[in-house]
Amino acid sequence: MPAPLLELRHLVKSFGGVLAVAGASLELGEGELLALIGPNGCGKTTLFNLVTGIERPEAGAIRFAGREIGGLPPQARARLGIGRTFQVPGVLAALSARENLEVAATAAGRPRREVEEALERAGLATFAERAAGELPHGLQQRLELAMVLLQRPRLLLLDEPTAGLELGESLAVAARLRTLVAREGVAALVVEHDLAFVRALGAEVAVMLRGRIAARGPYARVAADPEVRAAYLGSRG
Amino acid sequence: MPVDPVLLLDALAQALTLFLVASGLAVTFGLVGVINLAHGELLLAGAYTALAVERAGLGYWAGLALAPLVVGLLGFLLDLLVIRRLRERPLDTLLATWAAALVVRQTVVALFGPASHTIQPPIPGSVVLLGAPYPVHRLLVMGLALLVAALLAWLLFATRLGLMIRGAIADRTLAAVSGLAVRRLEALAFAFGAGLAGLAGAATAPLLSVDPQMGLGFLLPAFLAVLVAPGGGPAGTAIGAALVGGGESLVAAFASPVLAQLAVLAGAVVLLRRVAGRRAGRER
Repeated sequence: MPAPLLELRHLVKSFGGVLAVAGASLELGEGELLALIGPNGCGKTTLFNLVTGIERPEAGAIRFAGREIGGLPPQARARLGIGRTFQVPGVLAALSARENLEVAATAAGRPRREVEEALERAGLATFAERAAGELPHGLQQRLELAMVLLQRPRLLLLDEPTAGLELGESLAVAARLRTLVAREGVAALVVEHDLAFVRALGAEVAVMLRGRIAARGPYARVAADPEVRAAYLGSRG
Repeated sequence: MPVDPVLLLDALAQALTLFLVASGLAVTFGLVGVINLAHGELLLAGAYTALAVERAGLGYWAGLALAPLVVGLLGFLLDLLVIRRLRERPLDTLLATWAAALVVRQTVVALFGPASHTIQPPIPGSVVLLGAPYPVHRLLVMGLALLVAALLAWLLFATRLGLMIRGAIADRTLAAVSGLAVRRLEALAFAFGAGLAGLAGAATAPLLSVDPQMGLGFLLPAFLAVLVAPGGGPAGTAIGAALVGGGESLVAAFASPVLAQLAVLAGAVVLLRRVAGRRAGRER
């Protein structure tokens, strides 16, 4: 069996004595799509921060493509192929949409013509010179994803990609994500609260509770898990 | 009451000189986000580099060319040894850069003594401008400030390096996660800002008395110019320098130097409150 693309082992991270991630372990294979759900404050975003290098773990190991990356700075992890989006769209607000993509292309060593292609593909060509911070939320999300895709990531970490979207738009995002994973062979770990979206993804689901991965499997099985029902799904209907 | 055109010229000279000093600070404070209390001493180091080079018989122009390189290297070392180790601790950075300022000042005293020195302007004398004689070197400094403004604008808005620096300023974390070597960019920007301070020191040295205290007088007005600047770019710094430098010069001429200093101080208080409010609003 090939080694997983991403392997997290017993990660621990606390803030001011409060454990945010408490021994989380998770594996993700090449081209695999996995939804990560859990109540607010269970450590999902901190887990993303640990994988991308924004935060350093106090204990545990992070392996990517067979290599220990826990000591690498964020930019080195990005260059290895870890791309990430944020809950609030991660765009450089003062820069134009085109400049945002140029920064991403420069950082990833991609030629400039890919910026034009990305603008077209994301439907942002007519907004290219607008400051990213002035774009509507949906366009900011598209810009953010276009920036991440310019990195040619092997692993995508998407933090609530449907935040602020209507149900129809959420389902369209799920369909686009499935296509992307199938077509490009990108692995994706998707933090999401919207369970309709999670079902539409049709992927395995991991549940994070109190800083650790409490359950993993097909949506129906995870949804039936008593601990998960009590802590999360039950409370959300 | 007719306004003496030379007063306006003086105000313009003051504003452009302050721009030259503040542009380096705009890079280190505005772009890198470090409150560098040693900025005045970097300027001092530039002036003394010019003095040392002139004493070595190489002339003023060689000193003017070498000062930004020497002080840029000093800034690089300051960043490497002090600032990057205190990146997330702004109060400690204040103390550390103040300590660095003391070290630079005392080193200058040890090497050159506490007395003041004079550097002769490379082109002495005056030209008649607006009906009155005006020192040539002052005009040279004004021209150099304009050149630096153009260079900064070109660097920031027309080069790939400038784009990356603007990206890192806009959101340090996001830039790093996107793959930008943010720390390297910050180190480069800090050394560049220090180099500009060195250039300002060497450029203004023939207009001033070169002594170990000369950097102190520039620190507050330069910070004010950067704080009042709308936006972080060179155009904003130019506006800030015009308001602070030009304003102080005109108030000093029409009222009194004491009133001008008071106006600067009052401006500092108001602006610091405004900047603090703006920062708080930006936190997310």
